[in-house]
Amino acid sequence: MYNSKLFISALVYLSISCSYELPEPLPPSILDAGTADFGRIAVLGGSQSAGFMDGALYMEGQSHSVGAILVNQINQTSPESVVFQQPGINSLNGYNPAASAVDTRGKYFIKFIDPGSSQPFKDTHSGEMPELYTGPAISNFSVPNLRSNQVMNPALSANPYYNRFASIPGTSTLIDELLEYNPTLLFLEMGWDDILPYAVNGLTGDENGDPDQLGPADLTPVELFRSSLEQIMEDLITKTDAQIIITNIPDVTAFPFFNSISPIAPINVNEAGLLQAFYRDYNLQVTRYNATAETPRPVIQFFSDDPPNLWKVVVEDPTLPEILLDDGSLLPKYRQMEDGEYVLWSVPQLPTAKGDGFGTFSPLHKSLFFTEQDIVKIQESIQEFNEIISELIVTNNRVHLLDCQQIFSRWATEGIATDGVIHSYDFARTGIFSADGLTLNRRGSALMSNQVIDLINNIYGSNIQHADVNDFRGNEFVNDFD
Amino acid sequence: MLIEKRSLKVILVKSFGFWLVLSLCGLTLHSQSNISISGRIQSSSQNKAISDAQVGIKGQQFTVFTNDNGEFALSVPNKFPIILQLRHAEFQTAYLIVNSGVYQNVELNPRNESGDGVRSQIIRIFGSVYDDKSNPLKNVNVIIHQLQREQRPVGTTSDKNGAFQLFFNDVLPVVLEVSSLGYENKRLVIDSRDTKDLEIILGATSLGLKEIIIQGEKIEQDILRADYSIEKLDVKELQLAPSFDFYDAIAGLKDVDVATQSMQFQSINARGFNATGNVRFTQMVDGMDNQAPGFGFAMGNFAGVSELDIESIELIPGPTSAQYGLNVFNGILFMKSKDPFLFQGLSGTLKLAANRFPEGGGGKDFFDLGGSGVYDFSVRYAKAVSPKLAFKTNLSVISANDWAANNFDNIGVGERFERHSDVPGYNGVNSYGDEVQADLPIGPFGSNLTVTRTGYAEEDLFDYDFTNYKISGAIHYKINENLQGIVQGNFAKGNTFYTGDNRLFLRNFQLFQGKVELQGSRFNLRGYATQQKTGDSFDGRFLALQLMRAARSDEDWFKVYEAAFTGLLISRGITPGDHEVARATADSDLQLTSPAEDRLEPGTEPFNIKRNEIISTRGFEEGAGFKDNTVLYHIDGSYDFAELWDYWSVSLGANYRFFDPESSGILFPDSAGNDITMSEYGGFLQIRRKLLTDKLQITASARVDKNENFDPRFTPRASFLYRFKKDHNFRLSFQTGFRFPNLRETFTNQNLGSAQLIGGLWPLISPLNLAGNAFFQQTVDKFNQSVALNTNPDPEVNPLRFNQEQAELLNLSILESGLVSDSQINEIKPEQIRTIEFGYKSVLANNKLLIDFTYYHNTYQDFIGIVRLVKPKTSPLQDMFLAARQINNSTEREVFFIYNNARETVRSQGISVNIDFTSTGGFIVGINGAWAALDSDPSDPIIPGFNTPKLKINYTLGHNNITPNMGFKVNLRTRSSYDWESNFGDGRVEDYFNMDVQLNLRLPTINSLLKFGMSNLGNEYYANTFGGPRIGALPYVQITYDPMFY
Repeated sequence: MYNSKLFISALVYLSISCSYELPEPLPPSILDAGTADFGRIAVLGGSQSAGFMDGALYMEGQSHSVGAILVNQINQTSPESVVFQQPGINSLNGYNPAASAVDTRGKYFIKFIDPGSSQPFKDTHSGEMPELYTGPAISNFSVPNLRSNQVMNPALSANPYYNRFASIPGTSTLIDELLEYNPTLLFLEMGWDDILPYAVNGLTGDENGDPDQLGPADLTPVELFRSSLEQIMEDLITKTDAQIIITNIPDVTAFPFFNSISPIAPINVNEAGLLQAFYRDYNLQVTRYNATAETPRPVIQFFSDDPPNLWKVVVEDPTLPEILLDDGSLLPKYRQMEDGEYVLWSVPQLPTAKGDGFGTFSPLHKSLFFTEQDIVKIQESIQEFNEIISELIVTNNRVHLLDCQQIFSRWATEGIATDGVIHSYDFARTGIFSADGLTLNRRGSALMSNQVIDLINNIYGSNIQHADVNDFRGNEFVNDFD
Repeated sequence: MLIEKRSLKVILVKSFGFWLVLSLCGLTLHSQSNISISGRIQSSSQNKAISDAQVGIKGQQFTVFTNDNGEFALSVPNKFPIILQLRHAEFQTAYLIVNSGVYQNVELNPRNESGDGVRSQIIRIFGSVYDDKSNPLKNVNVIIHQLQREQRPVGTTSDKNGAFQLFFNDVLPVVLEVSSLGYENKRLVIDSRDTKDLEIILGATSLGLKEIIIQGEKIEQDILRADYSIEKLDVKELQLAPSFDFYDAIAGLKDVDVATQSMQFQSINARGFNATGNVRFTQMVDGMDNQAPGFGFAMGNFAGVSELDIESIELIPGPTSAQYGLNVFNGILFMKSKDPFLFQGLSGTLKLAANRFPEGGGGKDFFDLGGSGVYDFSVRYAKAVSPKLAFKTNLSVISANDWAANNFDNIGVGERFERHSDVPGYNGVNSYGDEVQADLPIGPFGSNLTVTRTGYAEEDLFDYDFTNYKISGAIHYKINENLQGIVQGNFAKGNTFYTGDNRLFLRNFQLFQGKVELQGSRFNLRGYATQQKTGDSFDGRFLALQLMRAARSDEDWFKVYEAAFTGLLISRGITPGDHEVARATADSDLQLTSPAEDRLEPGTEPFNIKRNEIISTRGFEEGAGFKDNTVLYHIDGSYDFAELWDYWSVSLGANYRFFDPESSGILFPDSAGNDITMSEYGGFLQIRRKLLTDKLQITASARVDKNENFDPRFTPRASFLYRFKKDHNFRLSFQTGFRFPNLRETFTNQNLGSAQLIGGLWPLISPLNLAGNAFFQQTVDKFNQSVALNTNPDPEVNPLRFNQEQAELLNLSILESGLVSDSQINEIKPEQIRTIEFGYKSVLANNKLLIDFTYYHNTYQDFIGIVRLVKPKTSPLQDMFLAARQINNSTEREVFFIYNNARETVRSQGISVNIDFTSTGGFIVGINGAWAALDSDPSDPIIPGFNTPKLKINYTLGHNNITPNMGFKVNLRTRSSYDWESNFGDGRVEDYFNMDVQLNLRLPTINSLLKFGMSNLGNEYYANTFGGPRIGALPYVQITYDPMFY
């Protein structure tokens, strides 16, 4: 009896005996914060830090802000969950201020409008104005389009993105909200939105505007930036014990907003003939003027051998010399774009020799193109701003620099690849910029988060794992050949 | 897979031509006289004539039947005395020593409970040979040519005192044949189990030639009446095969396909689904599974039996797993070596040959044929040192320059299957490294263009010279009359090639098999171990990849190519818009963002130094070497109750095997701390019943097996064999077979360079996160085809002329449809086959004509194959558009080849016919053919390639004694073209026709055979696998010294 039981047991064992099990892979190391304190992580910045992408602040962009990805990576290995509360936007497409002149539009997407053409354009989804935020206390205090001088100004409530979460709109200031949170680690991004409004409007704003009444296209005056940032830093240093990581400003002129639309396009003989006839009188006036002028003005020329069958976009350039016509009026200041100049991504449509002739029959306003001089001017401003940031850093050992100027420059010139995947410095399919051409998309945000992680790990001896950039999606593309 | 009209026509034309040659030859030559015997058989009890009794010559399969009056008559080429064997189902078998031609009223006794009265027993013969002056004669051949139990001779030679001794197991009586040069031959009947002091006097004769002519039978009775289709090559057929190596003769059997990977490595298959690593076909050597356990398949005769030691080969096409164990799916090959008790003495053979002759002619003058030498030497010695103890040893050495795989057709983008290595997307079949590709935005109208790296030809990577050794030995000890113990060891070492996932150079590869066996009269108990050692083996593709990357990383190479082509390097003097210039620039040491060196050119010293460094580095991260020292331990036992019950035959058996892989994590996940093993076991029971006076035989068998990783499987089989009117044997069988995934299919985790090969166990698949993140390869192919159509620059084909991105956006729905879902990739499970087979076999025309016909229909389920998946590094669920770009860039995707099961049921069927005729003059003419086809082309990508010509025909013409000491044989093989699919690559194998010839001269004065022959007469190179070596002519001369046969 005993033997038969044994036999049956053996038979059962053999028939169900264990199958092979691979050893469990080693889990990633438990988070070691090193000398950092991840208890209350906060972010203060502008569009980039808010998760503003594709021209709007919408849920998916916000959830992929640099701060959100950073904290998510910390929580991958942290035994205790770190809270990073953003003022949830609760909108699929968000609100796109630049595209909402007529109605409320949402985020941009990129579309191909011409079969065979490699030049895409952008369009918007329908949008919605931001709702008031009523959730828990936040730790991402970033506000899209935030200038440095607005951080301590209750008038920031005019910005709907701040107004929605301001504790007392019109009274409270952003810095007060932040100080109340009392962060232990702060990621501070300042200056980007001080420079960009001026640049994206083709330098049509004022570079030394009234500090109390800065226009939407103005550059924040350098001294205003200095004083504002110094005040912010003083508050943070004196009123908190936070470790501070501050970014400087990358060369925004290399952003795809400024270089994605070529000023040169193909043209056929018939189109060139029509345009040449259109500008015949204009050219006569210019030719007449040039006969005696010390500084000649260019004529508009659509027939060209160099390059053949291509035309250059016609723009209105206020810097050209004036030509007084016989009737006392001034000849419009038209010229064609030169190599090295770019049509800005903010154009309402792509330049065309057809239809309304945007960029041909209808020259582009200065706010829609960028000259080489503009590039130099913006780069000089960035340099001034960054020097201010650098000066602040050396004054306190709690402040550390994330050198975005150097990081973005390296990305732009040397290329970017993670795990064999090549990323491009544009808003193409492989790009790291969102469809607005100014802010990083989800992949770009992950890349930047990894730079922040590297810096934190280096400074504080922590071991936060990198985010896998290839796990993040790029921009939205559609074919639209109507 | 249809036969092309052209190839079918070629076969028919060649067939007609061959038969024309036959008819011109004539079939009337006679070379020896027959003896005629007639008689009548009656019952001993009733004196009644016995009809339907079999009358044959003992030990031969020649049989006639008595008529209704009990009369028989036969005429055979032989000499008196002979022993007639008289058999009938209702009577005891009787043996009749025949010295004259007519016998009347031979009586048979009715059967009783002890059966047919035939008992085999140990027979001992001690004797001495003298001349007529009583001088002892040494080196006299003493042979019993035909034994009852097995179709092979037993023999020895007399020593210096003229003494000899023979021990063997058989049924008395037997005929002892004694011969020596310069003396008369004698035939003596031995009818005592212990014959001592036998004195044989041989008179001198002027005729020094052996007169004993062995006339083999068309087919053995066991095979004729087997319920399987069995093909057999006996020792004589193997010796006289018109091929350089006896193993090549297997290719001439019906139903057989061969996949040649090296001179020393030919994979055998039957009935479809051929493969270079044929895991569905089992090869047994003396009861041992001859597979290299790490690979899971046998390596041809690389580690098989030496030519001098081979006694017979039997091949059973189709599944026989119920009897021979799970995994016998497509067929099984039995190689049996010679018993040292039966085949004693010294023998040796030397072969000189040449191969690799240039196609289309040789060198500059007529005598300069080119080619390189092939040298093959074997020696065997066996001796029975006592009636109980015998031993044998074998050594064989071959040295040659192997066949080269040199198909450089483009299988990449561009002019497919044309050899245009200058196209940007060139990827040659046998050039490696050029499968690394990227889509660069340098095509017309902004479209992407596929560019591949500059690879290396196989000839630049491999050294084809090799020397291989085979050493084996065995000790047989007879414990008593019914019990024998055997200890045997076989060792092989050398170089060969394997066309697996990549082309592997198996360098200093070793395979050892050691066996301990106990053979009883009714039982068998056996244990053996097999260990492979890969030695200094390396992977050709990884060698190429590492050589390329030593000069420049893939990422940087494509950057430079793009920069050079688009004009970014004009300032450095690089002409834009020229692919050749762009390639040359990328292959140069021009530095863009990363340091780079010039491409390593074959033949240069830096190339050789780097090559040696790479192949001596194990692991594919930095090297190309690999290690697989897997060991297989196996024990099995069986018991045969055949003689316990009349009419009933029962046998049972069981086996256990244990695999212990050792690859240091290179091929299997057996890295430190993870010692993987695999075990499986099973057992079978077979019952056989004869009915209708032995005319009907019903066999039922069942088998249960369990692998530690898979659920138990039950394998039943039933067969019916019916003998109609003496000569017509019909068989019908039903079988279900399973095959457990082998070690490789279960556990592998191997980087193939262009893909990762993954075993089917869930713990290996699960971490890959395939569901929702990967595409099936065929979906990617379909997507690419559609995109290519939409970007075609020809406005007539594509009026809208989308750019690459637009076209990809347009076709994203194709990709979405091919996204791997949760339910589509599961853990691997055993594959299953169900077979119905009908066969007819007969020997007609007085034993001169053999007809063998088989029809089978196979149904396969859960077929184990490779599912090819492409996983972009960005999940399609995250960004389908981005994923669409990544799937065609080798650095931005991962490709997984995963062993898995097909969902589709596959059906195949086939017919094979063998007709073999021996003329009265001794000419042997044979034709066998096989037709095999899938019922429908499967759409399931997992289903492995059928890899089998639809039609194959073999022709044979030969004569063993066209003069008393000369014979010849001609074999012709035709194969229709067929598609080949494998992990290595997919492509067409062209039809081929080749002819092997041999002429042999027996030299009795020196007990030798001289053989001249040539394989592939005409030197028309052919390949029987896609990407495998191409085989040319092989002329040879061979001399074999073997006193037992010559």
